[in-house]
Amino acid sequence: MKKSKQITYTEHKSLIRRYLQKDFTPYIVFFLPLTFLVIFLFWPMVTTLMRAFMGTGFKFSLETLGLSNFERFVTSSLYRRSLRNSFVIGLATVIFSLLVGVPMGYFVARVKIPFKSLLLSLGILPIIMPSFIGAFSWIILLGRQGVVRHFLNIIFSPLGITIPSIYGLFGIIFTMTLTYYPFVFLLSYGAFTSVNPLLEEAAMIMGSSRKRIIRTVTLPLVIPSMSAAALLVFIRSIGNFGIPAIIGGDQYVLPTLIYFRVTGFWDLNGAAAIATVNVIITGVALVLQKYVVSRREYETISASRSEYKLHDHWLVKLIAILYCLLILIVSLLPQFTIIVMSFFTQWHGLYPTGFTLENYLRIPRVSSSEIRNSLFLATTASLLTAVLGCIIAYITERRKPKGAVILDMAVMAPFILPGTVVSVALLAAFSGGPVIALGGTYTIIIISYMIRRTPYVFRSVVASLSQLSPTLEESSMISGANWIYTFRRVSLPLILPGILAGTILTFATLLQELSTTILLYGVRTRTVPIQIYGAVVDGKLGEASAMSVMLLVTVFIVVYAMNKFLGRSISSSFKLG
Amino acid sequence: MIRKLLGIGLVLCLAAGLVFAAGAREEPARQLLIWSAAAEDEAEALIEAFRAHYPDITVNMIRAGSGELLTRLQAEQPRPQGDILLGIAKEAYDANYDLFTGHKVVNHDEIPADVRDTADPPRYYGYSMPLQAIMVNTQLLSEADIPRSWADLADPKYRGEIILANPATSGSAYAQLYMMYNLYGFDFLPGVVANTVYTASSTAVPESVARGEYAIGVTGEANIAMYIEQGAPVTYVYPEEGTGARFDASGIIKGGPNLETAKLFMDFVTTLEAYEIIYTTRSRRVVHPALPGPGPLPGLSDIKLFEYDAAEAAAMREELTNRFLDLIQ
Repeated sequence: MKKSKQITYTEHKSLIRRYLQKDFTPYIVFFLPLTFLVIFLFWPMVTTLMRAFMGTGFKFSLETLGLSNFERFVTSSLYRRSLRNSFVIGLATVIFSLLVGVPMGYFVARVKIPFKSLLLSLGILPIIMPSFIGAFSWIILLGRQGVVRHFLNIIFSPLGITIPSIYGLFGIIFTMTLTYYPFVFLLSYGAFTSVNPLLEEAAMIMGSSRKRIIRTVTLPLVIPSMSAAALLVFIRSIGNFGIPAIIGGDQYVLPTLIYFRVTGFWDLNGAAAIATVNVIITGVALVLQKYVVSRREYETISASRSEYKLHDHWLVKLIAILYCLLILIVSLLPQFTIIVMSFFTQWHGLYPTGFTLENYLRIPRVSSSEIRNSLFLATTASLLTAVLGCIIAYITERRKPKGAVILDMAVMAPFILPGTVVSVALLAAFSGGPVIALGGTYTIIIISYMIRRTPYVFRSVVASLSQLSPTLEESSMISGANWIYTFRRVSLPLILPGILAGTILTFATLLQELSTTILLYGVRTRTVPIQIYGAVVDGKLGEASAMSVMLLVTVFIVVYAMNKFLGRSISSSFKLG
Repeated sequence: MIRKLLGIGLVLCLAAGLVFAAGAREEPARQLLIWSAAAEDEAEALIEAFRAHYPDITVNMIRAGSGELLTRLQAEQPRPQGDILLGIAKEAYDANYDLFTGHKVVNHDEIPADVRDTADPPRYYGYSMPLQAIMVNTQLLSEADIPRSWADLADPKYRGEIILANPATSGSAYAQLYMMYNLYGFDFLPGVVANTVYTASSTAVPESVARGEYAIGVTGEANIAMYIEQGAPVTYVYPEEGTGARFDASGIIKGGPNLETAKLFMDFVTTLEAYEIIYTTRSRRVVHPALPGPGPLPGLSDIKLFEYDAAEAAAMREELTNRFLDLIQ
């Protein structure tokens, strides 16, 4: 009796001691981002979801709950057709983006070709295009009166071939592939450079042919990054409104229907229902991607590293250079069109008319505060997003808490939800409230940017972490380092390329963000894309182009500088001093 | 390097904090915030003229489409940030009537009763008249081939040549559908649908006809005037059956922060001076009877109009649009 009591006492004492010795820093570090998510992500998400099940009316009332908003997917042939179009476009864009982007990533990573940082920086530009004007420049090129189509027809007419105009489903898929393949290109480039060359060398020593190595060693190792890229492409392409609206003619997609509900009927509840369907589709894609990745283990980033040998056979080099140039030139045609258009007042018919420099000269006069706002908002939000995305990725990937999938879904959802729906949720929650009044401030825009763009950093860090063996971190802990030290000196340097890639994408896409900003901006927080939108609506394509060119050049300089100056330190960070 | 990056991040966050702090500062007394769906230069010209009358009032503008502005207005209840809603279709005011507040303007008697709210005090006054007209590319169609009426839009010879905005995208696009339905009934519509591409982007309509992507479009007459003035090969056709007399309006947002200055602005925007500005900046037809047809467009006496029953149109909008949408294949 007495003895057993004593045992419990010592047990108790050791429990306390263990408790006190436990390292609490991770919990403190995790607490802040999770609180942020609960307040600014879960709350708007929950209200949006509820809205989807509410009948009509803007005010919340639980009496109208029901499935009426979803009925249209059964009753309306328009809804069924749009749903099918979204699927077809999403899948086709993913497949073509992989076909275009993976070889390009491989060539730039593994073949000895010049101007790599230039290629990488140009490679991101197709994504950077304010949506309306980008789609419209394809019409200038390949529409019925399109200039490229005109000349191709002259060349091909002796053969009896006429190039069809771009309108329709094929045009949407073509345009979206050339817009979104950079996700695949950049992420697979990152993966090909970070695969441990020792594995490939081992295969080679054992007598495998080069083809066999690519098929059985290299490609399987980059599956996490490639599937992450495929997921991003899928989500972006089924969420895009501008391209189907301008190029699709009357081929509608889910975002078109959302737009109809919001602008045509002021019916946010109906829009939320369509958005919910979109979220479910993406959820399925997400689970699928997780399944593909989790079937194997990928621990390719390790401390011991050797440089891999770059291909330098002249034929391989020639093919690689020609391939990269071809893809870059075709996919940058809209950007080139916009540069040309920015020097003219209009472009009716084959050629632009009315040469002018005024489109540029007016920028310092009319846009200086907008430029400041755009840069400030995009930079601040990108840096905060980098921190947030990185920590959440670390939690879901390393700690694997119960409900990690829900956390994953919740982070991805605002990325899929149309900007309008997210901003309305934020506005309704925080604009008139006595506690946090955020309407018209920088804060509300930064928060919505963070919520909508965290997935870039998140996905790319999750991919990096799944390539990184936990043994490195464990050995650091065993050697006596605490969690924060391990995170800072071991994990962070190893996943830094992933963080940087995600942050660059975030910054580049935020600089042209329109759909969220237009509902949230105030007098002091106007951005450049708002001005571009105004110019497009007012029929001033020249002015809109000049401002778009300015954004393009900014992104190009930032990305080029990052690649040029950080490139070496990124790759050297693998070697752990 | 990581430390450096972290340092930069911290500095930026601090900077952000400072900006937020600055944002919270109290503003000077006389202010006005206009939410405008009207074109940038037009709204700016109006504001400039208003400032000339009241130099002590700081006027700011938020520009967005009418759909975004109304969404924003609903989402910001009960304390909307804006004071005036400028240039949005009358039907939108009717549909969100509770979100506006009445004010009888000084020039009340000069504004005809059919282009303002009939309540007393009125919650909105007419701004411009976005008459819907047929826009034709003269390089693609010869004078003899140009459609003359709504009925012509169903003529099979125009197959693939017509671009219209989908009725679900905007009030104007729906008005076109409602007018055709009202004239010829629902069975007339499949003929038009067969000829037409229904785009989800209403700005794509005039732009496409001007570029020659499509030969025929239906759009607000001000867009046609704009492209004629830019030198595009286009012309206007007012349908023989007539076109609906609709109007855009301005009104005071209920619960906005600056009610008194908002009233001053409503008084101003309903003067002949203001209507002249709207009329000249973008060749817009205005509701004031003293002003003739704008720019290259004909005067009201040369255009056949019919009454547009906005209330009935609005009542059957959801049903008619949905029936119509299922026609598109």
